[in-house]
Amino acid sequence: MGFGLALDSGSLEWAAAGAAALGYALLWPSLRRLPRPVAALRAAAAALLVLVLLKPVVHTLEQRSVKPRIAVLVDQGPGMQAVDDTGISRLSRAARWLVSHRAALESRAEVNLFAASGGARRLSWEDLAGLRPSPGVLEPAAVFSDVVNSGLPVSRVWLFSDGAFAPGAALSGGGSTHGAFKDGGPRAAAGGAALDSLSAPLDAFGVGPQRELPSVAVTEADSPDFVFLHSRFAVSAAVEVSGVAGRELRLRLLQDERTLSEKTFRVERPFEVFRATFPVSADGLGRQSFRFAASLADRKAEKSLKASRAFRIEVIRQKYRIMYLAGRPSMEYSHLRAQLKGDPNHELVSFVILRNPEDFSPVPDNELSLIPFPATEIFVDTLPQFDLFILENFAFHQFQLPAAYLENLKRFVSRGGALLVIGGSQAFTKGGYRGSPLEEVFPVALVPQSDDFIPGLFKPAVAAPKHPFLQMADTPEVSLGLWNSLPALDGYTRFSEVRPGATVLLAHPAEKTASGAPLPVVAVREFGRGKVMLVGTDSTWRWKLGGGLDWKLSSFYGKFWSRAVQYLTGSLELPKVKFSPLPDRMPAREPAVLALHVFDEHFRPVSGAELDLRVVWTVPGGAQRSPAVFESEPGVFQVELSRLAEGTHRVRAIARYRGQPWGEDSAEFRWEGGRGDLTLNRRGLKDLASRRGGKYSDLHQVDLNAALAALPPSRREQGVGSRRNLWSWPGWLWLIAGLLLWEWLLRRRRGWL
Amino acid sequence: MRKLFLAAALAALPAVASAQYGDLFVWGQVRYTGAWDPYPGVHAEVLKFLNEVTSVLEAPERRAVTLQSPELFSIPFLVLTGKQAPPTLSEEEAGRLRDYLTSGGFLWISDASGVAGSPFDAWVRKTLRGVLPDTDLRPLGSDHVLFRTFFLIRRIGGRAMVSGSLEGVDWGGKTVVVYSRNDLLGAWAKDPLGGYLYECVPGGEAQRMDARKLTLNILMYALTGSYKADAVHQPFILEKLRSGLP
Repeated sequence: MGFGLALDSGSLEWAAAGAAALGYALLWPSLRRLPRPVAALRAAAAALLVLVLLKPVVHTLEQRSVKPRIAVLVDQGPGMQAVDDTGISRLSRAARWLVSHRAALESRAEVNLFAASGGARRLSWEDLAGLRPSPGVLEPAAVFSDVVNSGLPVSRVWLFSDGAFAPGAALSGGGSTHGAFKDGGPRAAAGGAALDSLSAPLDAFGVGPQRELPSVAVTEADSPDFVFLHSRFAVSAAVEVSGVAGRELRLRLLQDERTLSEKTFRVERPFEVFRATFPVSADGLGRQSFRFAASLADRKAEKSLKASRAFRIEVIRQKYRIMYLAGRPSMEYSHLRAQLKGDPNHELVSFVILRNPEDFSPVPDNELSLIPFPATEIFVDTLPQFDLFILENFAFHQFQLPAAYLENLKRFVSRGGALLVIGGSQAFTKGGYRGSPLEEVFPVALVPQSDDFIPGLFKPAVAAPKHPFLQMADTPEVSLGLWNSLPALDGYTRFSEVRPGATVLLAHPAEKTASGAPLPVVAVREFGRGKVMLVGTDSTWRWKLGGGLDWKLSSFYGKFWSRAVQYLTGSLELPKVKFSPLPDRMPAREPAVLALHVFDEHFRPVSGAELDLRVVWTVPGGAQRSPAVFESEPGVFQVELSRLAEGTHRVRAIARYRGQPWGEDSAEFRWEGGRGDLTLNRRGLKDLASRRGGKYSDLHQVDLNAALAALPPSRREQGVGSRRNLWSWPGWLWLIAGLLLWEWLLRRRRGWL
Repeated sequence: MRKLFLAAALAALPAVASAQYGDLFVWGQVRYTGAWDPYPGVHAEVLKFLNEVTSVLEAPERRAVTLQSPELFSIPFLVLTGKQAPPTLSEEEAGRLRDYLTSGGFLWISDASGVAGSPFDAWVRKTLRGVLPDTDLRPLGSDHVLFRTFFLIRRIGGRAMVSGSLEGVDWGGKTVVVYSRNDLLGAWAKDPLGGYLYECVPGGEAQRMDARKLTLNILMYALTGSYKADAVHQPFILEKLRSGLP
């Protein structure tokens, strides 16, 4: 044992003592003239006063042993209620294990217990026995942050968990937890930062099935949402297998139940995760359905040891290549060409016949900017490179072109190309199309008379108000109002009849076909794999010019033709609102998170500021709720579902973009709660432990002595045993008063007054 | 001839109202208080030439409209010409002209005075500043597509050589106003016997031919836009330009 002396003074005391010393120093010139005994007594009193003001204390010093402190985090998430093969819940198993080893633990360390879910909450040993699972899944970021903020200088962190972290909370680059959600994002970043702020190593103890039941699960399916036509892209899957060591795993990629590719893996360990990437070519437009199917390769494989995961990819065109051939310069050509050219998603090649063979030339040919009409290049050589072919008022017969060219154009459509035929006096019968191969492609049959084009003002009537192509506004009523307020068109074409399967979108308000049906002004049909649109007039420029009179119509013309291209090339029907693929059965953790992607007309992510999103969640039993939705990144909206009941859940999202109906998508999944269907997420826990320099162990295989041995040893340190405040002794005041009294008496006696 | 017949036949249809032209090109002209039509028969000469030389089908008669006319927004090509300054546009007229130009209309302004710094020229500059204040009237460079929409043009003609270039106002990537100061239309004007009314000075008949070609190019620009600026035409045009134009 030793002793120590210290001053317990604060800033106030130091200031007072300093002031006393300073005063004494200032008075020193007068004091030094005093007789020496008087001066000595006064100095002694002052020194004593300063000493007391500094609050001296005396303490004893003792040697003692200090144990390392460990923070024990017990996962309280919903997955911890799983019973597994042990007969008791995972949470109870963790608690019992801790209680049964309490004595050993406390003999070696100072134990601080925490319940961990959406945060970390201090527990006593008594609380631990009564701990119940919470609906909130373990969020590492919040838990580690709470531990750090508790102020306890821990030497090591022990985490008892099944590894069912919050979605998006994977902390290393290893992938998702339980495979249902892609990792990354703000939660993962926050979790990683919180983990890094833990100065102590972390050991993870996996609480799950003691016996590895044979299982196969496709835990991840990673694919792009949209790809461009004819591009090559990659899709990847992660398959977790357990309890099938020595067997072969077969992983297939299927498209519409047709196997595209497959890989086999030899399973070496009781638990393994296999990842595979498959290259895929986007050969077809529109929604393509794929599926990963995992199974054991041998014939003896149990039927239950199969798993699959479906996903969809939208195949779109990167740019629409458009060939625009016009029979002569016109306002329709001028405006439509400018409209198509102004869209960055269009790659337009256009030709307009500036001069007919019979026209007079007042100057030599080299003073004309004309080029030879590249008919063969247009109709034969380059035709397959285009997505859309526009024929505007083009008199085919005038150039004595072979009929094979039109046959080729027909073949182009039947193989998936799009054709837009725009009217005018030479666009149909007079242009030589009646009886040609191309007439079969048209949505109408042509009249035999060559004067099939009739000048005259008319306002077309909407013949198919529910057709998506005609939806030009927020509601069908507003859309119809816009159609009815458009300026009149000038000139229409007479047709014999509408072909079966064709849809008349706009019709002449009074004129009929030869068969008595309303005369089509705009009609569409599908021919083979392609689409055809017919516009029986070349005066839609009047809609553009009319926009100057009515602001409501100012964008109508551009929108009409933009939608026409989208309709013809198939992108109008492509969903622009879609949920990311979900597993058939969702992991038992809350909140369940669904990712919704919303794209604009060019398939770029849509900002939430311009989006009105309504999400309806239908729970088992039919009741409807409105779940929480937030934008996690541009164009990606997370739908969080909490307090889930067992059964089938349906979520429907309806989006309006810039005030217009934009699309909707639905997702369905089965929720089975914490009934033990969750595997133990060893990978996630291992990642977590290894990142903080700790180790992972299954709880039922924990070597307690080894775990305790990893703790730093208890250390001997000299600590304060007892302390006595010298300054609080009242005798100091008496002593100072005595000195001053003595000084006074001395002066009286010696006559030094 | 066949096209002329067709146009005449269509125009003669009794059901055809004033604004009905089917798919024919219509010469629109701005009518204002004052001498709005210094060369009354010129449009027919221009349209005849257009018909003979190009594949364009045109309506034979012109449409003369005021800026306040309801028909303004159904005539996408307008000519505004005069020798004297037209009356100052009212606020409503200026607004309608702005709406017309920004919604796809095209205006060709032709100074018929034949002198530099004419009152008409001053009116044009002041008026355009008010109609489209965010844009400027600028000279069209020799590489402007208007100079190759049909004829390859190196010189601009006219009845009187006031300026060596055209000017224009761009809107939305397109030149929506073209302004010529050399009295292009005056170079077309003929007397009842078919002779030209005015000499073209100082270049004579070659200058007249340049004026005719430029006039037609302006019309073709309104009908085809930047078509001749497409890459597919460039090798041919450059080759022709290299081959030695007059």
